[in-house]
Amino acid sequence: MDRRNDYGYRMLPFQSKHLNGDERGGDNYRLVPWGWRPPPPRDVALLQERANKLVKYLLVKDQTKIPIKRSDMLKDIIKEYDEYFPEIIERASYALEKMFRVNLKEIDKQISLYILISTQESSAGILGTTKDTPKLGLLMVILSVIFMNGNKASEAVIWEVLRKLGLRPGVRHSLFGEVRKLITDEFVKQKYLEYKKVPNSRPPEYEFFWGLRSYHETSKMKVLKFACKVQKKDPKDWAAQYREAVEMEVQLQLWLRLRLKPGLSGSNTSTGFIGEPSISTSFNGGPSSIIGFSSGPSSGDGFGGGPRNGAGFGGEATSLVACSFSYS
Amino acid sequence: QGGARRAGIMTDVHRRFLQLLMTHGVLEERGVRRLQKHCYRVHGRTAAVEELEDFINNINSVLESLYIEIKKGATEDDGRPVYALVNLATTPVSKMASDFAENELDLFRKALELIIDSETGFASSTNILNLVDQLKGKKMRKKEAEQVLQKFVQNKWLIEKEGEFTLHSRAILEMEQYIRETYPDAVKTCNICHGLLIQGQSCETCGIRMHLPCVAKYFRSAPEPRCPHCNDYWPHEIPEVFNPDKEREAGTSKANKKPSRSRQH
Repeated sequence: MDRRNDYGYRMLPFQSKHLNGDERGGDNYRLVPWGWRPPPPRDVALLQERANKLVKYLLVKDQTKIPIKRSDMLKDIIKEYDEYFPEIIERASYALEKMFRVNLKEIDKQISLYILISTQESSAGILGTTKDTPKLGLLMVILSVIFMNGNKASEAVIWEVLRKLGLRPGVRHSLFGEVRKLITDEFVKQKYLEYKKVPNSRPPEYEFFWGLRSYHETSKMKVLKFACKVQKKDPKDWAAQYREAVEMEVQLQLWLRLRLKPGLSGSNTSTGFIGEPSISTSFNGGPSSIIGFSSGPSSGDGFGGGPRNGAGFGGEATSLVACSFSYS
Repeated sequence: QGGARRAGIMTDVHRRFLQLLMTHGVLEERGVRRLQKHCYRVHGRTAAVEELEDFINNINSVLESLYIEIKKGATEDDGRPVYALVNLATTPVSKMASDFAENELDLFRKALELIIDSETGFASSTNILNLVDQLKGKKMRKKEAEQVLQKFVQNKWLIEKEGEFTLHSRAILEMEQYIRETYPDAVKTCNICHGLLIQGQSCETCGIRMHLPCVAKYFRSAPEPRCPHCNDYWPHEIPEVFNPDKEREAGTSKANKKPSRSRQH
């Protein structure tokens, strides 16, 4: 119920620039669905208004970290302007990037799911902890186990580690709730982890992998550094992982440079669904970003620089327990 | 609202600030200033840190088209300045946050109504939980409702004190307009600042109300406090004006002060 609709629309400078197509690298060609016609000039204001609403909607919905469905966007915001969806979502992407440095990414073309990823290095933890910090700390532990184990880890291995932290399946924890549900259901829905059945296993066994969001919100280098800190080792001691992490950093730098090059920035990346690297490339160690929007996994200082009392990472994994528990 | 505000320039410093403020939902002024300094430092800007008010106005002018803004308010119990990113467009509670289910939002609505109707600005846990049967959506048990209320506290929509709930300053900042429009008869306002009032003191003779920090400011160094409306003696204890410097010296949190919830009427 937006009561401000009557107030008329004010064009901000950067938006008119966008309409001229300057950002498209001088070539005005763009993918136009069959039968779609551009709206007459006076309707542009209405589309922009709808795009602005979509921006707020996405920011709120993203708080849960569960990917947003295109069908929900159409039902809740776009409504009667569904044939203009491509233009509306492009305007929303642009605003998200310009105002919040956040990228709207389509992560599944079949069922049209989107997530928001921050495109600047995270400062999470600068002002202490938020309600999400403990869970993300736990996630960081799991991601590092998976990575150090060769990018996948069986459920058994994960529970071995968690038991050392005092966490058990089926036992409700004051911060995490039911831990098994958190790691096999919540983190999976949020795309932080993947939980897959080992083929042909009887009785059925399961493995954990990094989820798509983890690739985007943190980096293997960060996770490696975190793991090394916990074990008091130099990242270079883990030669294979270090090589892999460096490779990903190089790819990331290249990708960032390409994104920022004038002429390529426009439709290629801000909308996220024209010519983006597909999902399979990301899983093979493709480009990823290193940040976390809102409270994504942050740097190797673990727990986002949480407790200030310096409860550090001792050699024992059990000291992580002290860190986690100090939030309560 | 807004007038002819010149569209500001937003740099990565401002964007980082905005993102972090959104992460926390609401921040005290001290935290906000630290945040601002941090953002400048991260981006290696050695330029002088912009005055906080201008910094925020700059961001707000860019956000104007989205009908959201960084708003400044104060906590009702001791007058600490706080900042939050709020939605200016009037939205019903159902759009407030999407990580709450329909029945959870309805629980919030019920709690909100009890808080607004109460004399003290607090609604007891028992009274809220007794309404659990009337909720829209999926059936919720009382045990579940207790956890949902805790979720609201964690997300800074409600504050809990001794088994009673009131609105967090974040909720007041975000929902003031909505509350005034939805409950125009039940809503209470402060006689001094005319803002929405949930907790406060009231005159026993004529019934006008004032926020505790407004009382502190109005009666500061007044030898004989009298009601601004009917001139009768003001019967309540006058709180102290919030002083950020004093607090930094003492190095204690507000938990240390005298009971901050005044059931004074």
